Amino acid sequence: MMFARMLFIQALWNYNRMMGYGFCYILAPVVRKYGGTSPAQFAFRYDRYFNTHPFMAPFVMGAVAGLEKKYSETGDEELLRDIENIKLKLMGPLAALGDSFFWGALKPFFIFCASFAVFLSIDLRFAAASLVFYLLLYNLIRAAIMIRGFDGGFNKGKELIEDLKRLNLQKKVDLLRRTAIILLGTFWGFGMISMFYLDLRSALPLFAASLVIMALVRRLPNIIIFYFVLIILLIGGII
Amino acid sequence: MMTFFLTAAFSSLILLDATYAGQFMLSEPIFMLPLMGFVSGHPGEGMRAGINMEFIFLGRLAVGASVPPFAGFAAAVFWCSAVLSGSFRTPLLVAVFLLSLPAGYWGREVDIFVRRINGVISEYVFEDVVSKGKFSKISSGMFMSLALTFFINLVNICVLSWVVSTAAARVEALMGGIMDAHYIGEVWRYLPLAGMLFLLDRFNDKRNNGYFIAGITGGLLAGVIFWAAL
Repeated sequence: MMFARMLFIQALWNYNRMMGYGFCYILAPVVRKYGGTSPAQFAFRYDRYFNTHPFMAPFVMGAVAGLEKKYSETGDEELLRDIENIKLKLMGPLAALGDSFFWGALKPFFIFCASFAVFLSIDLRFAAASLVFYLLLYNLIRAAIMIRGFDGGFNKGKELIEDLKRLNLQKKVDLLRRTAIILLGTFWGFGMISMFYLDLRSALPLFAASLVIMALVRRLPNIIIFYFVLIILLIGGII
Repeated sequence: MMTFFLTAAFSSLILLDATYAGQFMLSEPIFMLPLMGFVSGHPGEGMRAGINMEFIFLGRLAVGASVPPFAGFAAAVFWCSAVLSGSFRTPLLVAVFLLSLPAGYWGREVDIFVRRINGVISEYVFEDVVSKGKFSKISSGMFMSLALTFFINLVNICVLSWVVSTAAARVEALMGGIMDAHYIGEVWRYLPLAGMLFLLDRFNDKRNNGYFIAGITGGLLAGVIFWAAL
């Protein structure tokens, strides 16, 4: 139930509160269950800015849900300050970690693998099966991290940071990036040799286009580079 | 025309996955275009276009509140334009592809507009939640926001697809005049070999240069050995 709600954390994403309203939406069942505060008071307390990586947000939500539970049992006003503190302290570092792990490594890595599985597939059924496989695997990893994050936050509260350190995500990011970069180089080298060996007309233009991409990537927007590539391919077609 | 509207509606629905609901990666061109290809009966074309489009847009990160060009939106415009053109022959697909790429930038502007509207909806909804304590209002607000996003995307996709499909026929004729169809087909087939290098934007930094060079060397050696053995 909570996981299904987490999928909509950004449904009301806006420039004023960012994920703030989504955060409130996900935690609404916690208030209903423990009843420490009235819904109106709860909404008032959560009507503020919150933004982090959507897949890392469950870590904070779990910790906040745990503190809300304690608050409903004890009524200790100090816990309300702890809730605000834990949100403010965790959202920045978790956003950086999530961007680097999910957007910067895991997602491009899976897309890269899926693309090459499709590119090298000899028939459509294999290509479709590999797409489904990579899509499922990516979502399983993401769901596992989200669920574990919520449980970890709920059970460990403020000690959650130690749990996060044990996950060692930065090392995994480096490993994924290195694996991807080696695969990228290998596929490109093998592909180029194969194109020249097969004496394809597009081999030389595509080789030149590759060199242009390597030289300009990160220096210019990709779409501009692509139009340079297009000019090279056009010249290759005319010659 | 009915097929076109259904395709546009289906793609607008998938686009919700990009930010607002799910984020299962279904709105990435590599998954979205094959899916739409299966639905329209042209899975092979969907897969090839998906790979080509994915590599061009994958280099950009959505860090914090920044909104990168919307790859899924460009993919939706691409496929709907192809459906509207009524043909999936390679030269026409290439022309549609080239014209659809800037739609990713238009998609980003649409997304920013949606986020601004979300601000208005959510403030209106939350006033009610805070004053009356009705949590169900948040769900209604979310549904309203998702429906509005769907509708805004749908309208934009329909209009842009019409523009792209109209221009694509002329671009195809122009390309046909200077290049033969076989060359265009070959480039379309092997473009991912160059396109994948856009991923260097994501994976490479100075520490990884050695790994990249080692990979290239390994690939070249493997290629030489493979073809020599054949």
